[in-house]
Amino acid sequence: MQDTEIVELYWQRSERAIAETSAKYAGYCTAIARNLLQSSEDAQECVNDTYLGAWNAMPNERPALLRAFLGKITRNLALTRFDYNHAQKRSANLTVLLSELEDCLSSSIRPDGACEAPETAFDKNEVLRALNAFLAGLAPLERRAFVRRYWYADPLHEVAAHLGMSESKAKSMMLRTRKKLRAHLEQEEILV
Amino acid sequence: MTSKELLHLLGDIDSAYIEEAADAKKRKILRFPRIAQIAMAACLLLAVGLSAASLSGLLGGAHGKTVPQIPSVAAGSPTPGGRKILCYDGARYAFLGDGAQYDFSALPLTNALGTLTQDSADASSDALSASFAVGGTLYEIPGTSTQFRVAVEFEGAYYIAEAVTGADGAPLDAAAFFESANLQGRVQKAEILDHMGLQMLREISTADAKGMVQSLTEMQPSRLTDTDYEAIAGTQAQGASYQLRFVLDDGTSVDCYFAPSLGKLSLGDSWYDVPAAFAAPYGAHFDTLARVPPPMG
Repeated sequence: MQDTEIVELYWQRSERAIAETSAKYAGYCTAIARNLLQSSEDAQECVNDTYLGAWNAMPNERPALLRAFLGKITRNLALTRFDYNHAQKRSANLTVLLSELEDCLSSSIRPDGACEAPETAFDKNEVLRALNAFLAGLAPLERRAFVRRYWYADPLHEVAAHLGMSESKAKSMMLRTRKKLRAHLEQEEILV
Repeated sequence: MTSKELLHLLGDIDSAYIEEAADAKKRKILRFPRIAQIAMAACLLLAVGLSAASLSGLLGGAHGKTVPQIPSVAAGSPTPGGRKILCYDGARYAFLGDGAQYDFSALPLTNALGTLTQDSADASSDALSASFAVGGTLYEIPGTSTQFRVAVEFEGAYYIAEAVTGADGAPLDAAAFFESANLQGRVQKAEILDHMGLQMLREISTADAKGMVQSLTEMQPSRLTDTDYEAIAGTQAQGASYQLRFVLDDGTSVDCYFAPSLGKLSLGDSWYDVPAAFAAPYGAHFDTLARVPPPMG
């Protein structure tokens, strides 16, 4: 079924919309949630909540890109669940992701050598505008790699497979891209 | 701003970048070279002194009883953007296990059927098309009808795709599908698992598994309404839907979903009404099963 037809089912408040969404995008959403949470059970809950989220969001919204729309809902739910679960169980992959993203923010070095992000006020819209501008300026391959790693939360070896390169080379590319992002955020005066 | 806040904000980037990355495909799968595997296998066979006759038997020769196994060597993973599908000879095939990789070293593939050249899954096209492994070579699996399954070699890895719809997206003809699969002759046992396939609930004997297959050849496609879809979703939510797995002699399996309370079973991409010939003798297998509802938010 075409995405426009599925969206139309949501607008008609037909519960078949859920079944069609599940049939077409369960795998996509599950992969995102599982990458972030590393728990099939938690991922399945997020995916089920995604359908509910989509049901509640439409008909107020008519997404042009249904897949990305659903993926965003799943990702937000997974991050929320991560926060909820954080005290009990930690997703190793997400913890590594957060650690890597410190590179984009750090302006000070702790005594143990790790970077520390300063707690500063920021304008979310400004940061989002800067992030989109940063992505627009990247080479397509580098941009896809960055999005696969930090949006889809793909493990590094999966990113490397997507790029057709070794994991160590992909790791180097990720490091360079994070440094570029930090420079960009500094240039935009989002980081001081 | 903290890294967690940045990670959250990245979630709201332009959807076009998310779509762009979703369509990125793996370019290379690192795998032990197949020729080395064959050489190693040959050395092992020589070392244990197998004769040519016994080798013939191992590979399924006329007098051999051992069926070549096709073990899965790497799990697949869900692909952002949908299932992994290919179209061949007017029908649609889905890759087993979301693109799981299989070892065909015991059953060499020799009859190439063509190359998957189009990045599309349009069954109406005469050309071979696929949403996965584009550029891979399509093979007939020795001893298996291409109306049931085909194999794909892509960048040194091997995959299996199984028919899920007939021409023009029509439901599979159950009798023809089971016959093409020689399911009754090849099934070794059946397994009942929870809907998610995470928990084995019951194992069914070879005799009952063969009887199930025989009775299911009579089933006809259901004409589902919105109410039916809701009912099916309801059984899944309540843990009253199960996976029914027919394990074949080569170690692979044909997997269906079965909602006993509705008398509906999925085969390929379609739902079917289960005949009384199935429900009467075999329905009891499902009567006392634990209900394992999927986790709900």
